[in-house]
Amino acid sequence: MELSDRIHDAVNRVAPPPAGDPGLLFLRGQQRARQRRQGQVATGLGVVLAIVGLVIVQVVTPTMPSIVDQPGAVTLPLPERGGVAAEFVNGHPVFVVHDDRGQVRVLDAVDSHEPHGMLKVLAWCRTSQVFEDLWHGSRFDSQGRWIGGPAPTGMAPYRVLTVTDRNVVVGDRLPAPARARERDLPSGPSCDDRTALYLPNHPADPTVLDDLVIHTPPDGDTDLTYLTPERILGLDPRS
Amino acid sequence: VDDQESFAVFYRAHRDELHAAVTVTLGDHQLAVEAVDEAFVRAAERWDQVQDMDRPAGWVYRVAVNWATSWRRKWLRRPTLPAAALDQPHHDVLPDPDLAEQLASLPVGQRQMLVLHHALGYTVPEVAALLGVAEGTVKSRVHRARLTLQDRLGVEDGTV
Repeated sequence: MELSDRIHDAVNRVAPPPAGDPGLLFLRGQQRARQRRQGQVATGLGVVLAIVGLVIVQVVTPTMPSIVDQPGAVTLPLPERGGVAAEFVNGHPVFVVHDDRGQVRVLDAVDSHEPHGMLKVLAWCRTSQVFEDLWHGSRFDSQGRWIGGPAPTGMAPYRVLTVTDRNVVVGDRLPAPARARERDLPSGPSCDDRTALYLPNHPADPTVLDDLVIHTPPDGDTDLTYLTPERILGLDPRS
Repeated sequence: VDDQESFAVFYRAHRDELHAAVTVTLGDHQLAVEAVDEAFVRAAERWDQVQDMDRPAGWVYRVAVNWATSWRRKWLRRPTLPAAALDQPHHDVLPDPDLAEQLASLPVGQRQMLVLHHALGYTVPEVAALLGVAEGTVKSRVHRARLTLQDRLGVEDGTV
């Protein structure tokens, strides 16, 4: 017997199974179809809801009244981790601090020490990692806490509203913190003891500028000491 | 109601034949009963599409074999049960135990092609269309399977 015949013969001789009920199988199939359709509807609804949610997040949210649109809220570029950037909030100089752990702070760059009613803008010294008053030597750590010098308080922080990968949105200026514990630091102008750059008739090391983050005025004059409020506002190149 | 009636006609016309074909393919009478019933339920689930196919019985056969193969695989993976015991087909109810034993040694794809072609009478193009493979693939696999079985069973040569 040929193989094909043998297979055919074997199939023909298989004992038939007990009679089944096609009506029952059909109803079971139809029931599954209904469940499948219901599942598809539920899945479709889920997808629609997800899309709607995404649209709300992506499109609607920015147009809704939010913290970003609060009066006075300002968006500033975020420096890299470990970096400090000199920025302006409505023309007022601030520092944006993005520390190594990802924490973001925005600090008032104007020194709280105001001799004779005149203002000074602080500088960030990259090598010492402190904010310095290069005229009278007040110093503050990267969180704006006072650590030495004549300044009566720490640096006033701004309320941080939102932080994204690229930006930080800041709100109103908060009260300056009281002095913290004083550290043993040399007094007087210093960015690692290299400068009295802004002290008249004092020898200066111009390379210190490479280590400073300052609010460079549009006119290029890097003397940030004894400024009037108008001069402070004039530091912002957009003003 | 029309659909239910047409399904019942289709069921009565093909159920025994499909059960026999799946039994020979799987080497397991009882598993074939369950597999064919499951495949018929799936046909009923989408009867509006299946009834318009050229070979709806071939579709049911393929679904039954795939379901049974998948079911076996899942049970064989169960660590708490003796896999060898589960893999024992019920040869005693098969009409040709020698053929069943040798068929079981072939890959399931080759078994399907042999049964579709020789037992259910499908042409090579029909088998190819049903299993979604090229005609050349069907020819070569059927040829290889036939050589294997002829060698092991000592049967005469034939043509595909």
